Amino acid sequence: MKLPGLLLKTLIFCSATSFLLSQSLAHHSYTMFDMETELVFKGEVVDYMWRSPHSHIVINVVAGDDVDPATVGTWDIEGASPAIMTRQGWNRVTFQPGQAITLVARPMRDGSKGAALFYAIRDDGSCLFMDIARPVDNSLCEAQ
Amino acid sequence: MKHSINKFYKGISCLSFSMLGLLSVSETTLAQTMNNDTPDLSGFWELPLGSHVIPEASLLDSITPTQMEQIAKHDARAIRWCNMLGVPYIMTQRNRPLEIWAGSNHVAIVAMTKHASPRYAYLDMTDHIDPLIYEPSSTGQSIAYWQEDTLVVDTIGFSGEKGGLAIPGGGFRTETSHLVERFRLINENTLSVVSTWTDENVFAAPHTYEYRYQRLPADYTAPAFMGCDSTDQERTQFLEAAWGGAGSLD
Amino acid sequence: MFAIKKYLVSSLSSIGLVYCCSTAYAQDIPNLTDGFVRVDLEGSGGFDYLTDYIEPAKLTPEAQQIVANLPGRQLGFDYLRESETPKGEGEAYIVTSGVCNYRANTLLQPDSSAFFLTQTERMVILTREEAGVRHIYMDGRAHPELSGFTPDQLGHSIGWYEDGDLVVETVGLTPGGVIAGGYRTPNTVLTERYSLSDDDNRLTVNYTWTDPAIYVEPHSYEVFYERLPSEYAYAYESWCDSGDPLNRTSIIVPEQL
Repeated sequence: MKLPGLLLKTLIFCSATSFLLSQSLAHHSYTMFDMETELVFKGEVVDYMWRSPHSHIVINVVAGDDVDPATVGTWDIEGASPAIMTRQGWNRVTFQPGQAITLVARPMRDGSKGAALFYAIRDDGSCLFMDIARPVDNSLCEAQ
Repeated sequence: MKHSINKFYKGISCLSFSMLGLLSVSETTLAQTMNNDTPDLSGFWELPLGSHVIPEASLLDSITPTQMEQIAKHDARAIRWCNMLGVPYIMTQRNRPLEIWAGSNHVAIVAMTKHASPRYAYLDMTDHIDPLIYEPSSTGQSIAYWQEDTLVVDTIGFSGEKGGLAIPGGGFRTETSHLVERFRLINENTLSVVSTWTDENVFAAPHTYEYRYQRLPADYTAPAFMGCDSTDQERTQFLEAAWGGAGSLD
Repeated sequence: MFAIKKYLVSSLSSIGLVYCCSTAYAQDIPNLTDGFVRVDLEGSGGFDYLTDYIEPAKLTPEAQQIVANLPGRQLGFDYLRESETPKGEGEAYIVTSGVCNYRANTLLQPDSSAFFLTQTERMVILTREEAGVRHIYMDGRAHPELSGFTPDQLGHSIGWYEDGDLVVETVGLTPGGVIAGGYRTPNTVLTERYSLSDDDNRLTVNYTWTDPAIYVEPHSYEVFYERLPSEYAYAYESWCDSGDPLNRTSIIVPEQL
């Protein structure tokens, strides 16, 4: 029943590298985002790109009283694939250019105008999550 | 002795009734759970050579040879880049078996190659998904129903960009294409699939063709998944030489 | 006459008993033909933390050495750039080769995208919204002799119903990583138990990796899923085009308005 030792060792050495490589290529790492920081972006949708492998929402944030100064500017907020976001309630017409939007996202470490989406906060205060991951503290969703 | 015989008959009696009860009840419930009251299409199917009838499609006059060349080039690019080719390609391939698995609320149609995402034909849906929400795909969006001994699969929601677009006999799929496939067992081991395409932007008349598949033995074991390597230089050179260059979207 | 009556009573009793037993047996087949999506019950705090609740695998010293010598995650492309310097407008972060891989591992281990089960008498298949299919043979066949089996990314799976659950046993996997620091070889046995909640909506899958050469004790964990709500129960297609340059990029710094 068991595989001979030599064959097994060969398989281990030949397959491990390719396995790990294929894992790394499937979905990109989030290393370039500061995953410990969550910013609230309140702005207007410039572009809503519903596409694989990752959806993107370009938003413009203008300085204001209830706006985090760190979020002012035009940003590319990267989401997940349509297949994943669909299961959280998104679709290709969830947002339209010109629409007001509030997003919670993790900014890039190098200061570029880009961020990884965590969730959107809808007008009724409910949250629309990018992925299956939920916040430890979701009071921001309930507070709206 | 008499006691022993009585005991024996009693045992036989109990056993036979037990078996009868077990079989009848479990079969009924299996049928309910697994949709067993319809012809058994589930299994691995292969497409023998020459097992098709494909007449020439009647295309609209507006479909030009140049347009057909563009479709051929599009499909060559899709193959070169290992795109999922979708429907109708996966229904016509011969290098791997086609799989059909009929569950209680959907029928899954699967081709074991990199060239295809699974097709799901929903038995519990009477309407197609809102086109506003459904992202057009290479497989389209299918609903299905039984019409006597025939499984009718009705598909819209095709993409006019994704995967292989060419249709056997001529023409190509677009976002306005409508496909109706009729799956019927000719005998236990032969499956006829009659496909009819309609598309007001492509066909002058409905285009119908038939493929016949042979059932593989019940103890068949699926082969390993067949991948596709778009970085294989030899493959790329061969494909690009054959089709005159099928570059990336750069 | 008395004997006939006795047999009749006995037989009817048997039928009654068997009816009860077989009804229970019949109810023991869960209705799994549907789509399911994983849920984050506790609130992990983010995508990177979804598996933090799983207890790390307890490896043998030999396996610890193998895992320690595995190549780390290959970070390349724009991950290696100077991290203090923002990119300018219109510049893209190239983050992968863009090659669309066959993600067989997602048919074996949890993923954020939905998966679909199709049950028939002889087969259960597990699929996602992309290429690939996992076969679970339900026809009573045994695993093949591994000495004559070419290890595969999905191995060889057989299944049966037990106490209302679907139990799946897999061997013959190619060597590779397992969640929470685990490892596997073709000899490793993966046992999955698919259990539905009483209302049929919550699916708990218990994964147990057993291999005395790798694990000091079986590496076992549970992952939770929910049946897709009926309005989203259908499958989409997860599209990937290796020839599309956008397949390689992450953030593209937008023009500042």
